[in-house]
Amino acid sequence: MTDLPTRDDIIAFLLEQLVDRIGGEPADIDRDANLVGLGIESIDAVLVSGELEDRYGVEIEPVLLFECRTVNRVADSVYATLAGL
Amino acid sequence: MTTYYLGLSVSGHDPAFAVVDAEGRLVFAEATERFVQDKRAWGIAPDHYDHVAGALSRVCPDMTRLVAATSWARPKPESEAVPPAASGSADGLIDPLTARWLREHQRRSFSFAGQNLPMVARGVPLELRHYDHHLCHAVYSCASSPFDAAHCVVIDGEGEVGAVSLYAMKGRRLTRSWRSWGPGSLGALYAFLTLKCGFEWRLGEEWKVMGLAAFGTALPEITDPLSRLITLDRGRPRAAAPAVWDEVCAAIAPFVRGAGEDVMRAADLAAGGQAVYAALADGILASAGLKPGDYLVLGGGCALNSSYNGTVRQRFGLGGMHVPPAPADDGNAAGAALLAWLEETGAALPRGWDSPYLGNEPNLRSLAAVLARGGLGRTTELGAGDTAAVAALLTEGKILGVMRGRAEFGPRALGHRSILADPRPAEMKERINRRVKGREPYRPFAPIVSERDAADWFDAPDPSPYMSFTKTWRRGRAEQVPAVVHADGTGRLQTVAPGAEPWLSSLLADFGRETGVPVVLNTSLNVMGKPIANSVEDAITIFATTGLDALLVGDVLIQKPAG
Repeated sequence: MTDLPTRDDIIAFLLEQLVDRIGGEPADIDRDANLVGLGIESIDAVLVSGELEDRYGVEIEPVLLFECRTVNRVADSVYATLAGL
Repeated sequence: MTTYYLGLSVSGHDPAFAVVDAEGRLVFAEATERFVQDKRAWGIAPDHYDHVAGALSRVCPDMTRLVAATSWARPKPESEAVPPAASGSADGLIDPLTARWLREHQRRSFSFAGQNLPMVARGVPLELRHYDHHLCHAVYSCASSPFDAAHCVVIDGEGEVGAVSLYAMKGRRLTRSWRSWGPGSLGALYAFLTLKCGFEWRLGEEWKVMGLAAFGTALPEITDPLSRLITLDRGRPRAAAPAVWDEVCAAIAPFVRGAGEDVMRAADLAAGGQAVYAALADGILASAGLKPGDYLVLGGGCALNSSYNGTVRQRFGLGGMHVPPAPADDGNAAGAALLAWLEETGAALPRGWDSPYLGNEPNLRSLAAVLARGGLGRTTELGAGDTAAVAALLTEGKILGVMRGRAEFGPRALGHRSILADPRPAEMKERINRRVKGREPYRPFAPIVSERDAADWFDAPDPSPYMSFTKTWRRGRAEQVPAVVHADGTGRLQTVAPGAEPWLSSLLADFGRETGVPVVLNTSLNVMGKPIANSVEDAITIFATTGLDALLVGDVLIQKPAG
C-alpha cells in the first residue's frame, strides 16, 4: 500500500466522481449537502462506491453512501477505515 | 472439543449444506433438492431438519461444537432501489414482480438460516456466521483446484454488490482484486435469454439454451442488439438503460419463441445469445490480467456454461483451468463452511477438496427390504466392483441405471447416480429419451472416457472430471459414437483420471475390450423435471416406471425380464 491518502484526497476523488455524473465544478458542490439533493441517483451512488473501492483498495459497505449521505461524511468513513480508526 | 463447520446455501434457490471437519476436510455436501426431490428446492431451508440431522449423525458423531455459516453476508434489501441490485429489474432483464420474488426468497432463506439447528445440535454449542457470496464461490472453487497460484473469476447472477468478482490466489491464499458494482449481470442475461427462447430459468432450463445453440446461427440481427444490453467497463459489466432494453426487445422480437412453438424456432436466438455471452465472458477474462501459462479458476453459476468453458484454455494460452463440480449456489455451502474454518485457523486453503462424491451412500438395508417383497426382476449379486457383467449388458444395448457409492455434489451425474448405455448405436439417444428420460431430442447425452484415452477421441482435451468442458470429437471418431455427439460435433466429456474411480475405469476398460470403443454414454439418473435420484427407493421407482433395462445398486444388479 502506498502512502495513506488524506481526507482531502478522498474528498477530491469523491467530488470528481460526482461531477462526472451530475456535471458542474467540484468547487460548487456543497460537501454537507445530502447527495440525493445534489441529484445523485441510487445507481450513481452504487457506481461511486465501486470506484472508491477500486481507488483505495478498501472494502466499501454497499449501504455506505446511503447511510452517510454527504461528501464529508462519506470521506470521514472511508478515511477512518483506511487509517484503521 | 471437536468442532464441525456447517455451510448453508441461503440464496433462496438451490439450497444445500456442507460439512467441514476440524482438519479442514470437506466431509459431506448435498443439495436439498436431492433430499426433497423438488428441482432447485425454491424456498426450502438448507438446514431442513431431517436432511441435516440424518447426515450429521453419520458424519460427525463426535461433534461437541457446531459453527454454522451462511453463503451471503446479509439479506438483500427490501427495496431493489437501495442499493440497485446487479440483476434486478433496474436493468430491465427481469420483470419487477420476479425481481421482488427472488429478493424475498433470499431474505427469507437468510433470515431463517440456522433456525433448525438447535434441534439438530441437541444442546451442542452453536454459532452462526455470515460470509460474502462471491467469496464463498471463490474459496470453494479454489480449494477444489490443484493449483497453488491462479486467477479466480466469479461470474453469476449477483452477489452483495455486483455480478463479477476477481480474486488472486497465491500460496493457496485469496485476496480480492476487484468486484463489479451495480446492474449488469451475465447470469441475468442468460436467464433473460432462456425466457426469450421459451424456457423457464426458474427451473434451471439454461441447459436447453446451450443445447439448442448448436442448431442455430449467431446472426448479426440478433447479436448486434443483444450485445447492447451489457457493456464492459474495465471488465465490470454495466447494464444498459431501460430504454435500450425496450429497443433490444423490439429488435429481437422476430426471433423470440412463444410457449408451445416449435423449439427450433429459438435456435438462432440461442446461438446468438451464447455468442454474446461468450464475448462478454471473454471481455471479463481479458480484464483479469491473464498471461499465457497462467492458471484460471472459474466459479459462480455462469461457470456451468461448459460450451464456453471448453474454448477458454487454448484461446487464452493458459497453463490450466479449473471449474469446480458445483460452481453455482449449491457449492457455496461448501465455501461458507470453509470460510468459517479458515477464519478460526488462519490456514491456507486445504487440499484434498477435489472429489465430487460427497453425498449420501445408497442404503442397502432399504434395498434388501424392497427386494424381499419381490416382483422387481432378476437379482444378481455381482462380485465387489465387478464390471465385466455390466460391460456385457451395455454391449447388448441395455440401458442401465447406476447408484453406487457417494452421490455427486453439483448438477452433474458422474457415474455414481447415472444412466449408462452404449454410445455406438445412432438410435440409442432416441431410445433413452423415449423409454426413460423423456428429454427433448435436441439435447445431447455426454460421454465418459478415461483421461488416458481422451486425446485419442477429442481434439485438444483437458482433464474434465466434472463435465465442465465441452470439446470437439476428433475426425473419424464422432461416427463411432453417434449417441454422444452433439449437432456441432462436440461432447461434454467426463474424463476419469487413473486411479480416481476404480469402478468406472474398470468399466471403461471392459467395455473398450468388448467393443473397441472405450467410451460410455452417461446421463443423470432421473426422469424429466425431477432431481437426480437420492434414495434407493427413488432409484427403484425410476426403474419400475420407465424402460430402464437394469439397475445396479451397490453391487446388486436387478434386471427386468427380457421382452
